[in-house]
Amino acid sequence: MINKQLGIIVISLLSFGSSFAANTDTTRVTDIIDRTLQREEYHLTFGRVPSLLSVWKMGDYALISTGFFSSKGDYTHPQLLFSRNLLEIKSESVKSLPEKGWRFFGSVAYTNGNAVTGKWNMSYYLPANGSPYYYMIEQEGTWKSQSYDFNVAAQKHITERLSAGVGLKYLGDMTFRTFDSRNDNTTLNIQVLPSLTMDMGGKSFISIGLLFNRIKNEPNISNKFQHGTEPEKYHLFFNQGLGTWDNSPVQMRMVDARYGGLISYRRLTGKSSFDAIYKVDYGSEEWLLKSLSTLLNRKENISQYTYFTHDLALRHREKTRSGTLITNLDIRNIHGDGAVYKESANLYQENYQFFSLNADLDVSYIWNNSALRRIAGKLSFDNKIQNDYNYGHISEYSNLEGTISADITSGKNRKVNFIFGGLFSYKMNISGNHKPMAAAGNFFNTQIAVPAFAYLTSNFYRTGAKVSAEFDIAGGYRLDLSLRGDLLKPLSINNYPESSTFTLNDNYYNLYLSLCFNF
Amino acid sequence: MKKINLRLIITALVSVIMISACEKKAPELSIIEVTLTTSAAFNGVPVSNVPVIITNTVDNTKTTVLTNPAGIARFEDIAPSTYNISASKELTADVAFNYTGFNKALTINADLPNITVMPLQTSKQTLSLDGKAGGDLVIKEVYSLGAANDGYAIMFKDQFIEIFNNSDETQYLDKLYIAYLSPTRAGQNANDVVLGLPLTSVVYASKILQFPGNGTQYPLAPGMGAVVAINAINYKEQKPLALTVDNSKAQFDTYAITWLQSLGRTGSAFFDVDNPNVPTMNCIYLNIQNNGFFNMDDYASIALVKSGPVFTETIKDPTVTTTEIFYMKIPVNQIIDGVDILAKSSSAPFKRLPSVIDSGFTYAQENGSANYTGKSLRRKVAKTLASGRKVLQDSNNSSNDFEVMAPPTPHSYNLK
Repeated sequence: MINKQLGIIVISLLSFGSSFAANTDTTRVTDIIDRTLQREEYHLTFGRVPSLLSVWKMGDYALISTGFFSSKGDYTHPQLLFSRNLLEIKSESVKSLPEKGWRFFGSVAYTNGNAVTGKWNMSYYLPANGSPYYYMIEQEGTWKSQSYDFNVAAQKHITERLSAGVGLKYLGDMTFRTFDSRNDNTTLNIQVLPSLTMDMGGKSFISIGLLFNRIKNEPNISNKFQHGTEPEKYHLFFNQGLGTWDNSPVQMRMVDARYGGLISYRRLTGKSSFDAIYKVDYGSEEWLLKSLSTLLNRKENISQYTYFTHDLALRHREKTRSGTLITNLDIRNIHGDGAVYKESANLYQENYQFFSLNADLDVSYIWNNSALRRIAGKLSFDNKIQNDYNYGHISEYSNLEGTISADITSGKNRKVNFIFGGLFSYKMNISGNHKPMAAAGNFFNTQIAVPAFAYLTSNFYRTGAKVSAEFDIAGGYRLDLSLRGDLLKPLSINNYPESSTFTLNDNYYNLYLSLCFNF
Repeated sequence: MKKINLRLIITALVSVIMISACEKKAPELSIIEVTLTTSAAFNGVPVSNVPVIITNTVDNTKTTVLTNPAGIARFEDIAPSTYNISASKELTADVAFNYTGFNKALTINADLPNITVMPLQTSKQTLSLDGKAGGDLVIKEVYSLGAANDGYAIMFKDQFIEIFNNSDETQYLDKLYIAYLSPTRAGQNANDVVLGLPLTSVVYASKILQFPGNGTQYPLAPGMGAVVAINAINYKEQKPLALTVDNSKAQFDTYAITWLQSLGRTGSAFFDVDNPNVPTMNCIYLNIQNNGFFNMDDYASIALVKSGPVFTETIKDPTVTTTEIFYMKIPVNQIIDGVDILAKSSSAPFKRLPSVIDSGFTYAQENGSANYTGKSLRRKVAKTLASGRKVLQDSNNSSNDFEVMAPPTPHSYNLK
């Protein structure tokens, strides 16, 4: 416990130390678009390979921001958030010490909010790694949430050609279910990413790195007594597949440990840069009993999900006479297998298989001197397959979403400047297959899988707008005020329209208001 | 060279993804093949075209298949899981007479609880139909779960059992026993431990009551019920809750304090209240040394036992290691009627009655946790005669014979 607290203090000091870096370049870039580009560049490329900060060319920056996020609507995944309000405070910076060969990144973020989740979910979220394991009850819930996020990276030139770096992330997430005040979830997510970058002649750079990520989830759940004529909505289940579940779960904790490596290649030419970053990791998510009965010889590990994740990121930047062409391609694949311990047979029974493939191609062009400041197009492909072969229950779908967006600027007035933007996207389902087989009659299929499939395979359009204003304030610092929002509207329900939890008249909106101080 | 490197990376990744994508596993479904037979007592009863039911104890889905002429029912494409298997066959009075000597319709049953089937396994099981001639007295209703836990005013103090005369002749309750069966754990919690004693010729009681009387003092007319209340009090008057009951009209109540004090033990004045206007059941056995009373467990298996025998042989509860808890042995052949009430649909391993008495079991809620819901388990009506007398369903299988009621319904079948 003392070690944990010490770790948090060290990370906090590093984060804030970087945040208060003076003499940054943030305030000298053209406008919000360029500042956003600075931050995106770190997270898209350099945050993935910390030692690559040796060739960071975007200048130092520092910011403190606060924002309010709100979302609401009936057009949503039936197990996820029906509404959410979130307040965020964040600080982030890059600081260079060229004379000593160091470069640092640091960010600290804190969020506090509330949300209403859908039915059959006691975990506030659905696992992103494809795991089938989560607690669930039928009753919808109101939650309060808090998160704190420390993210630091440091890079040091070891020799003229060799650079070392390490990234540390520490994310704490606490959610409390308030409707019946019977559940809280604490999640700690620690990631360590050391890497080395070799300069291969000033134009090419090769990096290698290692990844260790440990996520610990500690739910504390009390089964609510059902009173009188209350419907049976509070019974606790532990989901283990597409129809496979434990209907007498006891208190468990989850530990998800991931180990991996990365390799990256960077190529610089006179006016362009190219990065290819490939990461692969192996993860093992285990659900462990918090206490073991002395009378029963129970296994501690009740369920296990193992998975491989492949990530490929390609980045291309090219400066032209009038601006910059930016291309990002991200491909991610997860392949996982789940197994459940069967007490009656005293063995682990494999039952679940997960496969996902996501690809995002994002191309944008930023003009240096034009009222049309930025135009962008994005194509996203999403394919997921879940297979519970104990039930022969398969759910698979593929979606494609295309987005176009543009920003125009009022000019380059340092005193006050306005940016207006808009986006439009269309998501279409290109394939879908749902076969419940032996699970056809159980409630997971009728109450969860079918409405979820109706949502996931529906077509929608999204339209959004944003307006930003930036001001020069005393000391040459810049203040950004931004309001953006988007609205999702379903266009067609391609599967199970009679069982979907939404209609074509429903929608879902996201709204974000932020104030950012750049210094 | 640069392009080759990039191509290599993309080719390798795409290859891995494609190989992964091709590995979708085929369904690993299972088969249960049930061969239906009869016990020696019912040898000759046809076993073809009999519905066999399997119940998945995890997701509670039921599947029914009729036996073929060879008496085999085959369940294909079922999920590997744990199943309760059961079958019932009704015999008309004429047919039953040939096997039992009693000219009364009879349902013979068979069950196999908790059969685990592994992926791709063909599990072959044999079910043997058996039964005994239905009793004239039956357990009509058991209300053990209690009403809302509102300020601790009622909790489970309003529990009752109702005995019903299902015959066309007057029956006498005098000296009959009511036994609360053990173990007290009924599968509600994951750490509950099953009985661990043979459940063949005897059952195990934690508490035993006996009706008072001299043999003909407490008659029960056909179509009438007698309520044994834990406390014969009008709880609706005490606390205006919709789900509680008026037990002041009970025919009998329980009161253990005087009896316990005579044995040098103490009772529980908070829970145990005597109504002097209502005949009190005789206290026979209570396996709690002090502060005990005749409340039922939340999930209470109950047996109505013949008069005559004196029960003396106890056996230690092997599931309790911290203290010594004893059960009183009751011979199965002395049981007139019994109902196995457990926590939930997956509680079959916790059965407290052999299948010859109750080939199934019943519960208030599929997933358990039914405490303080005001729910009771009530026997269904098989038919209502022209006279208005109700004949209750008695197939010796509480899975079929009982239904869930809320609020409880004491005296609800009484002939008006």
